[in-house]
Parts: sequence; structure tokens; C-alpha cells
Amino acid sequence: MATTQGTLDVLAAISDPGTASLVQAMPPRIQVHDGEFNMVAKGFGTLKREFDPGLYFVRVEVGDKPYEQVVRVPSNGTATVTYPVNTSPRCSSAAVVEGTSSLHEYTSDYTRALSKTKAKLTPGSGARLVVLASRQRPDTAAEIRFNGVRLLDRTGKCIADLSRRSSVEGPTNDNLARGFAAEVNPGGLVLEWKHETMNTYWRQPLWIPQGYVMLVFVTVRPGQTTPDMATASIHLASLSEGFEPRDSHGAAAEAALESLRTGRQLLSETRLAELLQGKFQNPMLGIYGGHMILQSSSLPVSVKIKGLDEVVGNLQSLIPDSPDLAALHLMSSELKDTIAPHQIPCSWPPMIRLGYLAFRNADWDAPGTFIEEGSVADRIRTMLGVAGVWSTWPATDRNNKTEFPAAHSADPMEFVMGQLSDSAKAVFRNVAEDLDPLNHLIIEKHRTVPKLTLSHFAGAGFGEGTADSEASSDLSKINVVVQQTKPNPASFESLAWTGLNKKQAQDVANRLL
Amino acid sequence: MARDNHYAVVVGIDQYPAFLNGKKNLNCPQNDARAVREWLLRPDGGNLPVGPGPDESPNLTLITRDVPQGRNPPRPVVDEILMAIKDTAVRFHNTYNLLDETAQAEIWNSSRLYLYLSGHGIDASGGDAVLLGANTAEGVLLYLSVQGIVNKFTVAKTFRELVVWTDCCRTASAVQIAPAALDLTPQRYDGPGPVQVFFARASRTQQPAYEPPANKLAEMPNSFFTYALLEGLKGGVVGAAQGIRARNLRPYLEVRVPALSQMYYQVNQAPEIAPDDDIEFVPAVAPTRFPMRLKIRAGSPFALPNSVRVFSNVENPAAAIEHPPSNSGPGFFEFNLPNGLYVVTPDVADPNAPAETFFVRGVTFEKEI
Repeated sequence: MATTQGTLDVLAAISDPGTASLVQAMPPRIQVHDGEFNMVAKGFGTLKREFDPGLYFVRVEVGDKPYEQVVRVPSNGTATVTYPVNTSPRCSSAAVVEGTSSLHEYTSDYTRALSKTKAKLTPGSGARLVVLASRQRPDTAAEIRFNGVRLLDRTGKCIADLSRRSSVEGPTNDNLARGFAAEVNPGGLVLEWKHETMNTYWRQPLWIPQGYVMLVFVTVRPGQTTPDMATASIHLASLSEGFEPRDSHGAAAEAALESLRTGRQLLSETRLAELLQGKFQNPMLGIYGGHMILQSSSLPVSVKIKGLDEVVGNLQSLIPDSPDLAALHLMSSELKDTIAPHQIPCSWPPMIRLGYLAFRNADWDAPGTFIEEGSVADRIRTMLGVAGVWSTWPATDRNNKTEFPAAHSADPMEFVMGQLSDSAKAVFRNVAEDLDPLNHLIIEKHRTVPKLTLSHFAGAGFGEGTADSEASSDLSKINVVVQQTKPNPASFESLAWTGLNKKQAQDVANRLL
Repeated sequence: MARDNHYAVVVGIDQYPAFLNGKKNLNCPQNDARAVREWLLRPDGGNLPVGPGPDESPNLTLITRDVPQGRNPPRPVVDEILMAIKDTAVRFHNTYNLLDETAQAEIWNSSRLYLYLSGHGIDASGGDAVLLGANTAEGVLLYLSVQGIVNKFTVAKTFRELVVWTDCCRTASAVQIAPAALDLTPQRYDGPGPVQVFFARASRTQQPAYEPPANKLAEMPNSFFTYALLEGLKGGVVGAAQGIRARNLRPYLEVRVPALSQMYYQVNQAPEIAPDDDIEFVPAVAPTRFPMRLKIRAGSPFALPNSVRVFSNVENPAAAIEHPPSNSGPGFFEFNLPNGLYVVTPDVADPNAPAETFFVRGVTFEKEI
């Protein structure tokens, strides 16, 4: 017998315009689970759906603690769940935008002022960079310092040391927020910072379009005085208008960035489509949104392609030279399966790590076509941080007073070799020996036979899967089994993970043999 | 009868002496590994063959700081974990390698490898969970790419089923992640079907996995993911009486792990699970019951009757599952209920009697009605 379904309606308890705008800016994620705890529906802000009659468990990620309620959906009736809207923010992001814990009167005024006012520091012109560090809990306050943070130009030359007090802009309350601003030339820059726990320095590429101000928001964690630069949220605004923290597009961009950070969709596909189809002034919304489309597991390919075409078209008119736009273009082409050699190889790494990876992966089969040989994008191939939203690489050459990263070394491959870890070199050696028809002996238990031992055993004349008496007696000491392997050219493809292109990988393998 | 073709490698790494001078040591992985071993050896759990000792199995390799004994710290390191995995694959492959085709297929069809790993971890692309070896130091990350191992077993098909549980962080790292140096080519088997995989990671990409605060270890001795996993496998999942399978273990973990992390830290640790629904962990087990107390407010309609009725299936009132005695105590009713969603009504014949809903989710729970 067919069961008549009932309706479940989940909505926010809106008490005033303030809570309404909070829900609109960053709609909380809603999940509905059935009696066996299976998630049967999800939504953002509101949810209205037909279900079989029965008990359901609704969870809304609002505030520090999720709101949870068990509800009975009646046959042919409606059950309503009204969740309270906590006025405390739902996103602990560093960005000073609606819906985050970093937005309050002081930081929003300060952000507006920094983004709109010409900076005192002027290493360039035509664009502006603002770095704003803020605390989310002022009660744990201590003076904020940009220790170990520097701004480098695209050759690696330091153009600002943010740790110097003179670089700070504006009338600040140093315990709550600290801002840096500089007029810069449009294009590539590098932010260098120190990872406090690991005591290592890292570099992150930025790309600021002509006529824009880039805002890099970072958080200072409780008990710390230096911002955690890995938490960066990056936004763009036109130089003439400046950045408006309460603009709804800023909140949407932040939600899209948070989705990329956490791998959880925090912006509904409908809302994302609305935002990307409309005219947006913050190009980072388009960049984050484009990657969100690409990562979606539910959108059909045709919808993804259409959405990406719109994003790329919009961004083309705003930031035509951006490496991140070029990366989206490439990724969109791959989706269409119409990949063609890119007309201009990438020389400056896209800010978004996934974008850089797209170039690097495409360059494996067509060396030099997608990444310009000898460029910064080429030099960081093997050094790229393995995770995170942003492209980053360790500043291993920080103490050299020269330009980075070894931009003028005589032998580019020497630089590449220097970046490879011992474990990476071991993998190269294994593959290289597999490829070399004279060195086919591999000992199980993951030990490659040393060259000397190999030549010794080679004369013993044992065959595949067996060992003669002399070799067996030697081998019994280390309790392993010797077998002869066949050369496997396909295994060379397994070196793609190293980040090199095919030509470089071949070169490294040859040098290590 | 024990599951002779099920094998396990269980690893717990709690001490990292070279990493920030041991300041990042963990409290739980050793407990976690022992608790997982205990479940794997239980006849109503993993049911692996036991012997020669009561907590030993020829099919299970436990690797912690002090097992096997006599090694120099820091332990375990990545090489010995890989070696144990390889040895396990070789051992199992040898059991059927020389048999005829029919016998091979029979053994392979009932085969499974459990791989449990608890310790510090990092993230990598492609859904990986990367375990750090105990000898990891600042700037020298020594690691094991678990996704790489899953991939190799999926290709080699040495076992029919692969159950992988990783209880480690997946926060950012800064190295290239090389595939694990594990060659399974000689242990390859052209099985009659694809490998089935249940791969559960304790947290989502770029997110940490948590263990309880040090002062709470007495009440919560395991990392949250492992605690929820074992609780579910021992009968906590909804529908345990019909068997514990990937399809009911997964939603249980997805609800239970965030609840535990909320309880102790007010954070949302959400596991990431790729299940194969056909994997059965336990055929059927008596559901675990958890204490539940309904406190009656003054003037509540529940205060008048002497008992209440509790339903898990509201559309079928005949399925009321509890009639708690009226002498639960003044002003409250107490039950022991399996995990799930419930509705409670006064025990009266009125179809319009008030109803309250609640859920039981693995902890002592009190609700005011």
C-alpha cells in the first residue's frame, strides 16, 4: 500500500532585520537524518521536502553548537522545525565580512579605511595590497605583530618587512587588529611568512590586477601574537570603490572559500549560480565559485561547463591576465575534453593550489607547453605544499640574498635535484633501474639491491623467481627472495606525482643512475 | 567458527620524540590499537582466529611503541608497518596460491584485510589520509600514504575485501606525498570480482581528528573516531539486530563522531567514509542499550499516568517497545534503549495524547517533558 507522504519544513526564527541578513549572508547548513541516522536531505538556510511519515532528526549548523531536533513527519501533514538564529557568527574565518567572527564595528571601519586610502608605503603603483590581522577574541588580547612576514616582488626582492612598526597603517588598536598597506605594481607578488610551530618559512604567490585592492585577512589565534598566515582569506575590490565588509558578495565569497577549505559545500548550488550569473565586483567570488563548481559531486558535467563558461566570461572582463583565471580556463577545457595547448604558458603560479596543479598536470605530457621553463611556476613544481587552498612553497633559499627560487642558477635541473627529498630520489632510482635492462634484480621487502650486489649476483645466473645455490646462501642471511623483474616502461608514468614534467623526470632519473 | 581468511594489521603511534621534543605526543593511539585488536578477536566481533595466546592471532599483527618488544624507540616507523602489510599479503597469498582454481576462488571470496592506523596524520590530494611515522621530526616528515596502499590492494586484488580505518588528523602538510613503497605484484590474484573497500577516515580533508582531553581519559579512553567505531561495531548502530554492515555503520559514525567532538570540544569532527554496502562486519548482534531518563515537569500531561509508551515506529503504535514501570522514581522515567529516534506518549487510550520526540545516541541522556 502506498504511503502518503508528509512535509518537513525547516526554517530560521527571524526576529529582526539583523538576523534576517545574517541568515541570508551565510545560510546555515541543514541536514535531515532518518531513523537509521542516514542523511536523507540537506539544504542551506531553509528546507522544505516531502518525506515518508516517521521520525527524523534535523541538525542545523548554527553558532558554536549545532541545533538538533527530532521531529515526527505525519502522513499527509506538515511538521515544522524552527531553529534559533544565534547572533554570534557561524564562520570563524579571518575575513572581515558579514557572518564571520572577525566582523565588528572596529575591524569593518579599519578595513574600509585601509582599502580606500592611498597607502604611505609606495614600492609601486596601480594596485594596492592590504594585509589585516585580527583577533576573534579580544579578551585574550596582546599586541599583534607581523613577525617574520615580508612582501617580495616577483623576482624575490624584499619590498616590505611587515614586522617593522613603520609599515603599520592607520590608527590601530594593536591588541585587536593590525593592518599593513602598500601601493604596489599590478601582477605577481609573494607574501613570505613564518610557520610558528614548525619554525619554517613559507611563500605564497599573490596576483593583484591593475586597478584593484587585494585584501589578505589573517587570524591571530588565542594566546599568540603573530597571525596564522595559513588561515588567509583573500578578497579583491576596485581601487576606486574600496572594500565594503557588509556587502553580501563578500560573505558569499567567504562561504565559497570555506567550502574549498573544508571540502564541505557551504553555499547552495542555486545560490552560487545566482551569484555567478549576476555582476560581481569581487573577482575572488568568481575564482572561488569556479573551483566550487569544479569540485561539485552532484552537478552534471553539462551544468558545470555552462557555469564555468559564465564565470570565465565574467572574469575575463574583470581580471583578464590573472593566472587563476587562466587555470579555470584550462580546467574548463579539460572538462569539455577539448584540451588544446595553452597559448601562453603559465609563468606565475595561480594563487589557488588546485589551479596550479591543473597546469602542472597538463605539463607532464607536454613539457614547457603549460608551464614556462625556468619561471617561478616551473621552479616550485617539486616544492608545492601538499594541501590547503593556497599555492605555497617552503622558503628554503631564504638566507640567500639572491632572487628566488634560484632563478638564475646555471643548471635548472640542479635546483630541481636539490629540492627532491631522499624518499623521492629513492622512487626515481627504483623506476630508473626498472627501466634499465641491465638492472632487473629487485629484492622483495622493498630493498633495491645495491649496485655492487647486483653485479655480483648477475654472474650467478639464476632465473626468474629462483635463486641458485650460491645466491641463495648469500640471500638467506637477509631472509629475502630474489626475483627477476621485467622492464616496465609504464612505471615511468608513476613519477608524475613528483610534479616534474616528463622531460625533467627523465633527466633526474638519468642523473641518479 | 573463526574467520580464518580475515587478516589484520593494527597500528597505534602515540609518541613522536623527535617532533617538537615530544610536545605533540598523543594519549590514545596505543589504547585505540589495543581496543581494535580486542574487537577483532572477539567471537561476536571481527572473529579472527585466536592463538597461541588469548589475545593473539596468527592473522593479526599489532604494532605499537612496545609491541613487538625489544625495538629501539622511536617506534613504530613506516618501514615496519609496510613490512607487516606486505608480510600479511604474502602469508595470505601463500595459503591459496598452490591450490586449484576452484579452491582459490573459494578462499579469496571469504578473504578480508583490516588495516587500522591511529597516530598523527596529514592530508594529501585525492582523499588520502597520511599517517606519520614515530620518527618524524620537524622538516623531516616520514609518512605512509594510506590511499596509496588502498590503491595497490585494489589493483592487486590480493584480498576480496579491504577494511581501512584511519584515526589521524588530515591537516595541511608541506611535502610531496610519494606512493607507499609496497609492491604487491607477486601477490596479485585475478579474483572473480572487484575488491570491495570500506575506507573510513576520522575527519574530512584538511580537518583535525581529536582525542579527549588528558583529564577525561578515564571516561573516554579512545580517540573519538575509534570510540564511536567500536561502540557501533559492538551493537551501537541502529539495526544491529539485523547485522552490522557498511550501510548502517557509516551513518552511525557520521552522527556519533561529531556528537563526541561537540561534547568535549564544541567542534565538528566529521568522518569521511567511502563504504561498500556489501561489506558485513558482524552478522547480527544484540543492540547495545543506553540509559535514558525522562524527567517530568510539574504540570506536564506526562505527570498524570503511571507509565508512558515509547515507540520507534510512530506509524505502528502496536510496536511500542517499552512500558516502563511506574516505579521508576518520583518525577521521572528511566529506560535502557538502543540508539535511534523515539516518540513517547502517556500510556492512555487517547489518540490525541501529547507526544514528545527524542533520540538516543550512545550516551546517558536526560530530557525534560
